[in-house]
Amino acid sequence: MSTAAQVDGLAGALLRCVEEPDRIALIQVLLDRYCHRLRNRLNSMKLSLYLARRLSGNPSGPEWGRADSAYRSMEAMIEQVQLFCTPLQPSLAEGDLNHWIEQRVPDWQRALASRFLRLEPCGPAEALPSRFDWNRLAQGLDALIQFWAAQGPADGTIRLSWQRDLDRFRVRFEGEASLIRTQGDEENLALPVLARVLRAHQGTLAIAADSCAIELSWPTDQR
Amino acid sequence: MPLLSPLTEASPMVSSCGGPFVLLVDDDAIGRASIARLLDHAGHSCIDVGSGREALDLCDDRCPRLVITDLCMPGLDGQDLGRCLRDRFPGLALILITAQQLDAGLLGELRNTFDEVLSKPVDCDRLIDRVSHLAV
Repeated sequence: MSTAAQVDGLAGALLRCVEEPDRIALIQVLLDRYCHRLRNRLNSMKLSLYLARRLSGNPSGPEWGRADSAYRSMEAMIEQVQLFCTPLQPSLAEGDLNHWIEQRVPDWQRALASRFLRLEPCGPAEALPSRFDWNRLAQGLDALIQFWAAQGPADGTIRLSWQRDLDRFRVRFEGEASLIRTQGDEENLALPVLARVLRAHQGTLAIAADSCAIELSWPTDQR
Repeated sequence: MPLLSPLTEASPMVSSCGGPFVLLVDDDAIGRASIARLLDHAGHSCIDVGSGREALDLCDDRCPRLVITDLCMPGLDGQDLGRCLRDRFPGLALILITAQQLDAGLLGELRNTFDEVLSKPVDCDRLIDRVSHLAV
């Protein structure tokens, strides 16, 4: 498994920066003004779309849903780029990885079902006590699931397994087709965000050579 | 030290439509027009200006029910405008809208001055709800 060789475009470039924090700080400076302008323009678009929808006489029409969806994908892209660049000081808290994942699985399954994707969870029976910044882990994993729900394989099964392996925790997503290539032209920016969260916990995000599996791992001993 | 002397009473003035009004402050004309249209549709009379200084000058003559201001503006920025208005009209409702990423320290400072701090792109329902609540 490797870190980023299979990922193209902006997502791949950001993934390759994860091990170089100085470059991330530089990117943040360069992006700040750009994102500020984009947010101002997006704000005008959002307000205009909101108003046009209400004045249309058919605010429930499917074309408005598509317009909202397109708009939200732009907003999410900017948020993920900025989230990736934001200085990350993990706020560690005690938790049970097993329980934490089990609680989130139903929401993830519902999200993926909209694309006829099944999520098959397979975790250990015992608790997996761990210290982690659970909010940041949730940001990364929720974004990954949402991306697959919008742009992932059109159907099939994604197996999700998690375990403690000696001195590391491992979380693995395994699909029947590539989990990296997308159905549209959107970038999977959840990957670099997640990789950055893991890096802040001395962990890694690795991608199988055929792109059908993604594995997150981090040391059990977090101080 | 207050930048301007507090008034004894902040009495809402009427807009050109003859009722209380919301004052909108943003140096970005397109963004300002978008918010003004939304507020107008929601039934709030609105006067918009392009700078913090213009807002202060206007408030000297006519006190709005609510001021909505952008943060990053040349000259008097939204934070300083908020402080001036808070000193001068302690009961005036203030909303800040910003496209800037806010760290916890700055967010805390802004919340000490403003009744609501919203990030761009704003949640439109929330904006209308807060305006309806504060502009009474």
